[in-house]
Amino acid sequence: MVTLKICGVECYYGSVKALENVSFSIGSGELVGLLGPNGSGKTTLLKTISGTLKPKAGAVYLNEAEIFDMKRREVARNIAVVPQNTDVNFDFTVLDIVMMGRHPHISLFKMESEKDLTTAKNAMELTNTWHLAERHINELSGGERQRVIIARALAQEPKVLLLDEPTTHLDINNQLEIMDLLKELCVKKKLIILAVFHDFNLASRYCDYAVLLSKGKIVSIGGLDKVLTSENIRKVFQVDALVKKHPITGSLYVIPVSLKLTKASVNRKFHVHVICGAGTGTQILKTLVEKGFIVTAGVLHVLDTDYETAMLLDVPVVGEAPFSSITEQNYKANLKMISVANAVIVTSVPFGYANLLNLKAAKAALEMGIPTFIVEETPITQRDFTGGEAQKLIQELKSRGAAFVRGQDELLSLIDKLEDTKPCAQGVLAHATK
Amino acid sequence: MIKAVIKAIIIGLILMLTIEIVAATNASAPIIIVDNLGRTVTIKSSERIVSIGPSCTEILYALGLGDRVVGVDRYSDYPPEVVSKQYINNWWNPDPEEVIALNPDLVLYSVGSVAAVEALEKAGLTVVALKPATIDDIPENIKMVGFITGKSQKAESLASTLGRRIDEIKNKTTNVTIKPKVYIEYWYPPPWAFGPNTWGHQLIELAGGINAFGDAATGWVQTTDEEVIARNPDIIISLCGAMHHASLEDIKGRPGWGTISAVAKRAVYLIDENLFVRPGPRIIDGLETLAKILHPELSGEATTFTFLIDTTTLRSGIQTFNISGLMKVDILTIKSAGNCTLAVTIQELGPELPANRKLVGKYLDIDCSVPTGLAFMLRIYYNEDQLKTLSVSEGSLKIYVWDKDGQRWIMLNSAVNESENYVEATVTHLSYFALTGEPAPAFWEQRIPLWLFVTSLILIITIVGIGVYIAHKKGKSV
Amino acid sequence: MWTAIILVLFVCLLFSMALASTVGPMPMSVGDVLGIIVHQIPILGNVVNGQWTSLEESVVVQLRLPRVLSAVLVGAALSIAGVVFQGIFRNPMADPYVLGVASGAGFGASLAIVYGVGLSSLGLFYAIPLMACIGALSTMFLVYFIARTSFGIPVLRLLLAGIAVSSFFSSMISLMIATAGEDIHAAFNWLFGGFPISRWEYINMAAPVILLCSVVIYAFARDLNVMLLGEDQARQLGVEVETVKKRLIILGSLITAVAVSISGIIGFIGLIVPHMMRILVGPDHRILIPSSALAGASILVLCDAVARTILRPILLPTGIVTAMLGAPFFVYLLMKSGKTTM
Repeated sequence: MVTLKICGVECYYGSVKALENVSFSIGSGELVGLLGPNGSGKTTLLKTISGTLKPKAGAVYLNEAEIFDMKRREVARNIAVVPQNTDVNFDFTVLDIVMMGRHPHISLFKMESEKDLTTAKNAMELTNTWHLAERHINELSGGERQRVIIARALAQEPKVLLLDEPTTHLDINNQLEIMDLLKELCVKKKLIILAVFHDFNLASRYCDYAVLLSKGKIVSIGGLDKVLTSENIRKVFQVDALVKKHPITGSLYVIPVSLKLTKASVNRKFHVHVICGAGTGTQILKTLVEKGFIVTAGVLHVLDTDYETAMLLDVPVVGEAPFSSITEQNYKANLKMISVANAVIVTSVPFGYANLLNLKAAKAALEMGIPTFIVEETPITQRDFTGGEAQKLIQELKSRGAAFVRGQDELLSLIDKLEDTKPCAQGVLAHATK
Repeated sequence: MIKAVIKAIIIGLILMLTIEIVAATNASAPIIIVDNLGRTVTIKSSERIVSIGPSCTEILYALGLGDRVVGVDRYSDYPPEVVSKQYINNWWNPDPEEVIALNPDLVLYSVGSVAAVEALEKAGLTVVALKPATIDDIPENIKMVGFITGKSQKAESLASTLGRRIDEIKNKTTNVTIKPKVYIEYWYPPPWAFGPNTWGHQLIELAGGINAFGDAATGWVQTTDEEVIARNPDIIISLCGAMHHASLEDIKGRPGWGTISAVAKRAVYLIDENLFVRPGPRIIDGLETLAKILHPELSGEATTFTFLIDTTTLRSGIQTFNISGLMKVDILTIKSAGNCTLAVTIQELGPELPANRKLVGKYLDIDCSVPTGLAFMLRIYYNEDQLKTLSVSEGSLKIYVWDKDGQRWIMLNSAVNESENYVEATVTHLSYFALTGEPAPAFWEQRIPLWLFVTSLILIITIVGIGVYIAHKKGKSV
Repeated sequence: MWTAIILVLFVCLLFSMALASTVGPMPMSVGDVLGIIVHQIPILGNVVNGQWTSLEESVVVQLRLPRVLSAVLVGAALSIAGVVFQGIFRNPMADPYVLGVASGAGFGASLAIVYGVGLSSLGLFYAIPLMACIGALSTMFLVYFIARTSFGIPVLRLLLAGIAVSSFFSSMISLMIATAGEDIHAAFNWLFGGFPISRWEYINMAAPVILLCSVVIYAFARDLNVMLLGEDQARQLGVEVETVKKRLIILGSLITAVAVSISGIIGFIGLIVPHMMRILVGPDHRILIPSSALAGASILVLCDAVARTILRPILLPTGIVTAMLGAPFFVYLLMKSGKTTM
């Protein structure tokens, strides 16, 4: 049982602090992912652990022995590194390169022995590179080269394997192959593996746990679901992403939502309440927020896409528990939101018994004298799952003066006009065509 | 009648006046000459002359223009008094500013580079460039300098003397059948010789010899020991410069050189290098010296002198015999057994001298028809040039006599008379005699003991090593 | 495979040595020359006894043999130094003089020539090589001092320090040449590189140093291989990078200093021979070092032979010949091989 302990490590490049108070430990048979944006200190941390960069404070222990007290050869016998950049500009053969991994085991005046050759061969067979033995390293493809370097690291017979973006140059087939191999080695040979990943999905699939770094500090450490959250991702990477658990593999996957919001140039005082669901409101919500309107939404079920969009956009929402009908309480809350709005929009959301109350809320809006717009991208007949009740309510809305529009652009221009001529709600409705 | 006389007087006066006027204008008329580079130069006056190049300096001083010389280059060192006027640093490429600072009205330049001539011209100086190609050009140049400086008479006479000496040598050597092969050594190691298109080469040819390296591609020839051995010269001229003065003993010590004809015959001569490289009046001295060495049979100088010793004269005092010519020797006979004939032969070659002694002058072979009972004082004269050439100190001069039985040289109790430049010793046995001196160590050759040198070396290395070690300790933080 | 290469190169070297020995102004038959050489080998040599004069023996043993052996030593030394520096700096333009050793040696030698430093106790023959050696080693220390940091010796700093120190000493040499007297110019041919003065004494002093340094350098061959991957990777593979660098720099500079003190500054051998051999035998230092040494020795011996004979009786500085022959030949090799070299 081997333990790698990093205690309170602080590292500097010149006067720039690259790592601050980094502490964690890894035991045999654990595959740990090291995550973080560029410049967060991942490579620095690997350098420190491998003994290449001495920390100003703190220490790295391999089974109670401090790395920086050990001779370089001893360190190399225990810790192997697969670096980020595997370019080799000399025409060494692949076998030569892998044999270099035996360097820490061969003393100064000795030659290479049979054992060294066998070890190298085994490493190469594991990484499926033995057939490349006589080829020149600089003639190989990026993926083949990476596997060769991994073979070299394995030839060192290390207890700890450090990898810096091991799958960057590999196609998806090779990526999985290598990760499977590493996982297998980790488990079978009880190696400690610490690898830097940029691909969250890969990391979450293979890592037992992860360390998230940001600006040289550990932001989060632990199981994947603890580390990989939307909040963490937003905090550390400044990217909005959805984190979901994959139903089949059971591992998390991250979908960045490229909400490239153009900042609203104007913050309007105009309040629009959107009644939507099932993704039909996402565009509208986004556009309204971008245009600077005050936006609210409801009632939306928690797992609904529009709910998540609203969350991402910081739009106040009346939320409902998933798969349940809108409760009286939430209905009232929705009405309350509507009452302070300047306009209400109903999108082309399919209506079922669960969200029928939303249509009733729209009707209530009209009764309050708030201009209401119905977007009919598809006819209600196709969206009615209430046996005609929804259709009836829509007709009612029409007769009470709700404006019907076909598309988002029409809707927006109407709202703009509405905003300009706020008091005259009726006048606008008169111009709306069916 | 009186009218006629008055007329004659007036005409005479007018004539005289005209002549005066013409003479006066001519005296101040600028002189126009064409120099060695084909440039037409107008010289207005030559009261302040700067000389760049030792040969120019020597020509000027030979013409008695020394007091008009305001500055010379660093290499001009003859005559000795000119050393105080060394102001110009770079002979090859003189700095025009240095020349201008001396405020000359004439610059004599021995051509190193043509560009330098143009540079000096551009700076507004009057430059006469000298670049003689053959030895005959030198008297012509002397005449030209004389003409420029108003010393035509002296120049003519000097030029004609030099010309005559050159012609004499030429005449003597045109008909020689045997031309010895000559190697002039300028430097060692490695050996540097003179190739064609050098003064050395010209001198050899004029003196009736063959230049061992006359087939080289360049003038200055750097070559190998083996090359000299292979070419097997008959005569070696070892030029004495500031740092090179290889004597016969030095040359014999070189691996393989012992077999060279010249070394075996001991025909190795040390000559002041300035007599061979400066195209001034002294190069003719060099030529004559070389001719005498190559063809001593033609020199016409007496080598054997005979004197009659008369006992009658001896009774009343010392009988003095003087020899001059190749060597200056005085023999003051003190006593003799009877009337006899004393023969003194001056020889170039003689038995090998002890290791650190150098021959000053030549060997004397003194013989007498009645050798026993003879005693005399032998005075051998030397001159400063010889001492300088051989780098021999005056105090070390001693007369040596050759012991035929023991086959070695024995030092005689000799006294050096520094004011009159002779060395005197009492002689009772007749044999070969040689005036020898020991080389004075040049300042850099002052012996510092080897142990001191090695110790300081070790000390320096240790200090540096300690320094490195300390630095290593300080820097050890990785 | 490697043994075969070494053997072939060794035979080439012997052949070059034999060829160079038979070339010279003294007319001698090849048989005589070779016979004389073989005769010099103690005990075994007595087998051969031919008809040659003592002059011929003297010429071969005192004049030609030292030249040839000096060329062998210097050629090997410079090539090995070139391999080492190209490996440490991972820079194809590195040569033995990259740390300014050449200028330092030239400066030391010039001090001896112009100011007669050391001339007194040692005489002209020894003063120049010894002062050159001292100059070279001092330069090495100087560059080391300037370049080191508390983290070790970064390669870039070394190179820059080498350039700076080299320029400084070169200018000092030029200064001395400019202000020295006319007589001195003959002696400055030393700077152009060659073997005009070859003596057994030099060989006796230099050979042990060069041989010893070569053996020790060879022990680091595997480390050099690994260091080619980059300093970080080398560390991760167990190489004490700073220690190895320091030792190799000292050894490389020492071997260069000794070579330069015998032969003056001969260029191109240290730069081109390692490249040539890398194209022919590959980048593995375990074969590269010995093959470069043998090849460099052969080439220098042949260049020296050419320098001695091409413009007879003028002795060309060997450095000129190496430049004239070396450069085009290397270009030819480069064109021929499509393989990526450094």
